[in-house]
Amino acid sequence: MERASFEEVVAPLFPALHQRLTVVLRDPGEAEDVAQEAYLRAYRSWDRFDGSDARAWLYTIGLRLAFNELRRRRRWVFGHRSESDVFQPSVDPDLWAAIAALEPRHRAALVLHVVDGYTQSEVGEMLNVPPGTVGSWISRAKARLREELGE
Amino acid sequence: MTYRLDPQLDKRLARLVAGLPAHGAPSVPGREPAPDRVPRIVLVVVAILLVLGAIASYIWLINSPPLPNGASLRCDDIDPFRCRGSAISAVQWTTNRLAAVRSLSPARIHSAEVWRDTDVCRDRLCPAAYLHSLERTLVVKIGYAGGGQDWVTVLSCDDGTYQVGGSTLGPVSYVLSPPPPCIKAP
Repeated sequence: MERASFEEVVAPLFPALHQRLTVVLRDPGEAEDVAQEAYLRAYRSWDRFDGSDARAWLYTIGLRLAFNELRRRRRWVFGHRSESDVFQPSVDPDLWAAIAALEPRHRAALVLHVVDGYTQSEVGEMLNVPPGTVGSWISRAKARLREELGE
Repeated sequence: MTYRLDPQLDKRLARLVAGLPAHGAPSVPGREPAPDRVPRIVLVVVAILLVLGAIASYIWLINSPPLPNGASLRCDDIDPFRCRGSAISAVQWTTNRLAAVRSLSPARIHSAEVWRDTDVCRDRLCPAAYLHSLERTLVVKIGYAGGGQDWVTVLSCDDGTYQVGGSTLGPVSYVLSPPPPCIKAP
C-alpha cells in the first residue's frame, strides 16, 4: 500500500497542536510559531516516521520545541509582561487562569491525558519521563486546579 | 491508571482547549528534488588521489638531484653587475642555479629568502666547523609553488663567486653538516 502523503496525515493535526502548545506556552502567537517549526521539522523527517501514531509524533516534536522555547525565555527574558499582553481566552477564563498556575510540563501532561486520552505511559514517552512521574504530575495538577477553582 | 478530575471539569478542560485559537497548517515547501550529493566513493577516490599526490611530491623533492656540493658558478654567468657581494644577488643566483639543476621552471620557485646563519643556528646546536664559516655563508630558503622548501647553503668566496654548499630538506639536517670550503674557480 502506498504511504499517505505528509499533508494528508499531518496537516489536519496542526490546529490541535497549536491549541495544545497554546496551553503550554500561554501565548497563541508563540504557540503558532512553535507549531509551524514543529510542522516543518516533521515534514523534513517524514521519511523517518514509523507510521504508527502521527498525532503523538507531531505532539512530541512540538512539545519538545515548546519546552526549549520556555527554557530560552527563562534565560533571556528579564522583564514582566503587562497585563494587556497576557492572552485571555473567550471560553472559561477562570479555568485558564487556574491552568496558568501549573508547571508547563504538568499542563502538557494534564491535557494529553485528560483531553487527548493518552495513557500515562504514552504521555511519558512524549514528554521523555517515566510513567510514574507523569502520574505524579497529573495528580498534583489535579489537586492544584481544585484548589485554584475552589472546588 | 487514569486520573480524571471529574467529569464536569474534564468537559470544561476539553471545551477550553477546543476554544483556543487554532490556525490551519502552513503550506509545506514543494517537493524539492533531493540535493545533489557527491557519491561517497567519489570523495574517497579524490581523497586517495590527494594523499598520493602529496606523497609523490614529497618523494620527488627527496629524490630530485641534490645541488652539487662545491659546484661553482661565477657571478657573471648570471648578471655581472648585480651579483658581487650582494645578498640579493646571491638569492637570485641560488634560485637560478637551483632551477637549472633541478630542471624547474622559474615559476615553480615562488620565494627565496636569505636567512643569516645565526637565524638558523639560534635555537639549534651547530657544529663548530660550521660556525667558523659563518661570515661567508648564507642560507637561502627556497619555497616551491604548491608547497615544499629547500634550505640551500651559499658560500660567498673571496674570488667573488658563490658556491652552492649543499641543499637539504630542512634546516635541522642542514646545520648538522657544515658547508664545504670554497673551491677555487678554474
